[in-house]
Amino acid sequence: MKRKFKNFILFIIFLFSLIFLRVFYLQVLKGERYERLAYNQRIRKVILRAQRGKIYDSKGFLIADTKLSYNLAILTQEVDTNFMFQYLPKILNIDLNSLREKVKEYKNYPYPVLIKRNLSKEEAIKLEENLIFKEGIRIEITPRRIYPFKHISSSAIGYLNEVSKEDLKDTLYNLGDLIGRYGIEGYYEKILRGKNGLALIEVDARGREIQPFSLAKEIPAIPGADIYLSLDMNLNLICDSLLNNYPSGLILGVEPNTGRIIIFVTKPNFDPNIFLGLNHKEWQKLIKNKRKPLFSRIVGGVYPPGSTFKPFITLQALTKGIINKDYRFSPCYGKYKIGKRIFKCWQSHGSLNLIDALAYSCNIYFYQLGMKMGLKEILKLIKALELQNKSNIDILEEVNSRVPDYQTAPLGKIANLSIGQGEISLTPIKLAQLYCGIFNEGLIPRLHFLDSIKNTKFFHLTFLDSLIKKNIIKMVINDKKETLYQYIPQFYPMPFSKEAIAIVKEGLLAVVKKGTGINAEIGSLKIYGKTGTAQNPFGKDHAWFIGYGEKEDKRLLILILLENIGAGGAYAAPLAREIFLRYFFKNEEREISFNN
Amino acid sequence: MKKGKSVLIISFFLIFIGLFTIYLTSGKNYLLRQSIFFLLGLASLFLIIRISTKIIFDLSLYWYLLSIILLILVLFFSKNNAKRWLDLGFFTFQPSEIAKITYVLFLSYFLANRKKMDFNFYSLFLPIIITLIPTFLVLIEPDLGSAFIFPFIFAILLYFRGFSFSQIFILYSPLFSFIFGFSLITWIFYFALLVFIAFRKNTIFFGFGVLAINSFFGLLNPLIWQNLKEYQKERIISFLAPYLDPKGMSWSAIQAQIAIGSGRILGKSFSNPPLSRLDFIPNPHTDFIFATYCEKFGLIGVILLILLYFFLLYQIYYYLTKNLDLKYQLAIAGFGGVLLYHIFVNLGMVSGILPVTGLTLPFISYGGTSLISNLIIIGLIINFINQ
Repeated sequence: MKRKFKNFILFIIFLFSLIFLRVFYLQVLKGERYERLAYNQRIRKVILRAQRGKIYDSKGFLIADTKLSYNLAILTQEVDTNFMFQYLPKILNIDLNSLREKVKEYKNYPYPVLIKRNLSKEEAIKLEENLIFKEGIRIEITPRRIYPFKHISSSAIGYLNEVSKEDLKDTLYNLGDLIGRYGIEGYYEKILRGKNGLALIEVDARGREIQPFSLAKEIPAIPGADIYLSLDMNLNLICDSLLNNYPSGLILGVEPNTGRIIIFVTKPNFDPNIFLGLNHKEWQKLIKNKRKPLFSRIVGGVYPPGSTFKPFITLQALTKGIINKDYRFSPCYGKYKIGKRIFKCWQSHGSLNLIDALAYSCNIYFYQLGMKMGLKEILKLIKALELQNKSNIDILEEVNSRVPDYQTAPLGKIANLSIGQGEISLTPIKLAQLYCGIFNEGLIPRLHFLDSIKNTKFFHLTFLDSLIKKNIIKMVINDKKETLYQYIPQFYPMPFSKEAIAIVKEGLLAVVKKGTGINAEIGSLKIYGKTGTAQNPFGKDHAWFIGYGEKEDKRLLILILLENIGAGGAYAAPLAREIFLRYFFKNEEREISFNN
Repeated sequence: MKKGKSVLIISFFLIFIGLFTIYLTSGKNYLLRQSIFFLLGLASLFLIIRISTKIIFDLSLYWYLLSIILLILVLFFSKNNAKRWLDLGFFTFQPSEIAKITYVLFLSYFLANRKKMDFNFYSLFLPIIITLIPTFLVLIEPDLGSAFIFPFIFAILLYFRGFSFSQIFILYSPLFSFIFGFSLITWIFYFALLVFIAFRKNTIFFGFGVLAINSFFGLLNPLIWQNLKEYQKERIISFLAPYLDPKGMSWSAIQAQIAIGSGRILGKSFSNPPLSRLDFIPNPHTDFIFATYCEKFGLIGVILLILLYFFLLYQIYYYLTKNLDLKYQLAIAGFGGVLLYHIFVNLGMVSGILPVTGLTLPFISYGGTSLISNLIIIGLIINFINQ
């Protein structure tokens, strides 16, 4: 034991001398230098900003790109503020007050604080000539976001903003970084963002950089991952111009058999390019704009479905065996008395079977059908379709749809409900999703923009894992041996019988063949559709049209809503026809060129 | 309590140094809280000194199993990202701190009660399993720094149970071979050393057996590792060693080294050095307190501290030469090992010769769990040397 004891003590002495030698090296041999470093804080961290991932459309066109830009930054601890306040406004177009505020706010911040983004080349040169030798003023080269399609589909794409103090709690961000705030940019922020790098630089007493700090290697910035969307920007461009003649409206296009969103266009909209460098005033102006360009109507607006709700009432009635295809109610004479109130139809249709009632969208047929079904059955339908729930599309602005909260109601209310009026308001995205179910053999798809994610880096894995766990994406390795994450379409069944769906489809075909949607008709193609008019208590009615067409393996469901315009068949259906023609016949690859 | 006063006195001296350093870096509040932890620790220390060793050792299997259960529970119930802390509502603690103690007790008891311990599979199988269970559970928390303490103590206990250095080296050689397999050159040097040790005092048959196993494990590394995808490698590295920055720069480690260096020979105890004050060092009163200490007291202070630690360990291991029951000897050696591991890994981490792992410095670092469990260890050691 004695020998073992001695040996072990020698072992301890060996370990402790390693520590001692290291400390001796640091304190005696390098002590003077470290003392200097410690007291003067003469190492500066320089952030190497990461390049944000790119966004592409389904044809490979760039939707969001990153390019280099020159930014002016200052080190508040080192800068001669009097000199700066005096000269900077002379050289740059810059607001002195906000400059003062910024300097005050980040008084002791150890990193450079961004003062102005996207300097022009001339401005940068002017600065170099005049100020670069002044302590604490520097020009940083950082990546900048560019959206070549400008305002097209902006409510889907979103925009970037500078990080707030709240965001900085996440240590992945540094002051002056950009963060996705809205749309795809916001939802996939954790995928698109890269990881900033860091370099340590020794500076002299006047703040001038001497050399990289020798104890540490530079950490290079890691770019973000790229995202491929299902959107077809070519088509979106056309749809956007179709909306030009209308003050506000939206067009949504979906592939019912996959849930891929092809078209996502709203009016009015915004240009995401302008958000950087937007000052407070301009920002307020944008927010307070009465036309609400930032309002994401497709997912954030709720509208009464109007007649577009009739197919679902029909599906429920057919599935439950309440009526059949040939069922006829009392004929429509344009008016119908329920209790003491008179309910109107838009035309006098006479006696109609179910198919024709759908085709001509006869309200009186559906008043009677709704009352025959009873409120309970309609509420059951609303519950079974989970109408109030979100579609869970991959942008964050989506709101819940509104459904009736009562259990009993007078007959008049029931009649109204069965033509989609009253206490029922749906988001366009939800309505489109439900219609997808009708045209996809009763399977409702999960809707999504995401097609695939490429060039992922290690630090994206946590977020990717959360998507994988929710069964949203899967990892695949393509023929080029690249790892990419692909969207997995998902479906849930509608609570209707196959026969019911087939009958309703027949009705929807008749809508376009001979009924209210005849304006969408294309001779050589089977087009299904349903028109609707959403009553608007604040002004003219909104026009709905939902249409579906297929040709070979191409499928497209279109939802159009034109606000404050009138009846759906007259205004919205012709637009759908135009889009179907473009999609199925004229959508050959064309080159789109944009100048930035 | 007749013997072991010196152990107690040195520990108290270290704690006072710690309290002073905590006061200098983080102020009165932390000093007050640490003092309360100290009193709590003191109470448990004197309780432990009086406790019957029968309760300690005869029930050591159950203590061990209990701490294994806690280590499993922490994997499910910890709310943090690294699953180290268990929350009991009124206070939180690290089950790995408890496991270190119960592991030493149980393994000492187990090894002492074996009549014959030879260098063969039959003798070593169960002790290895006893070691691997807590190692694995702590490793997947993940807490790499704490996980390695179990194999470290195991080696010390084997040494004092009668195994020779070369036998222990051979036992651990597959692991070494696997680690050194990262680079061919280091592996060749390692292998040359191994050839020397493997054939010394052993049969040729045995020697070649060792070399064969080592070659296998050495090859395993490049074979497995090189076939992993890049993201898989990164995932393993960053899971096991989140502090480890493969790109070679850790801001906290650099700042710690600057702080140490700036202390120079005499230290800056009575001026106000700016580094730790300006929050350049993360956790200046816990894991990285040694950096602050170096800055305040300089090389003189470091020499004092290292000598104090050395005398503490010397005093502890000195009792192994006295006539004590084997299980007490082994337990004392094991607890000494716990302290030694913490001291060396923490000092090595702060001074930049080991990767940053997040282990505390015994008696000096701020923190209740650490201080109290270290005082319990001292209590157990004093209890045993008085038997």
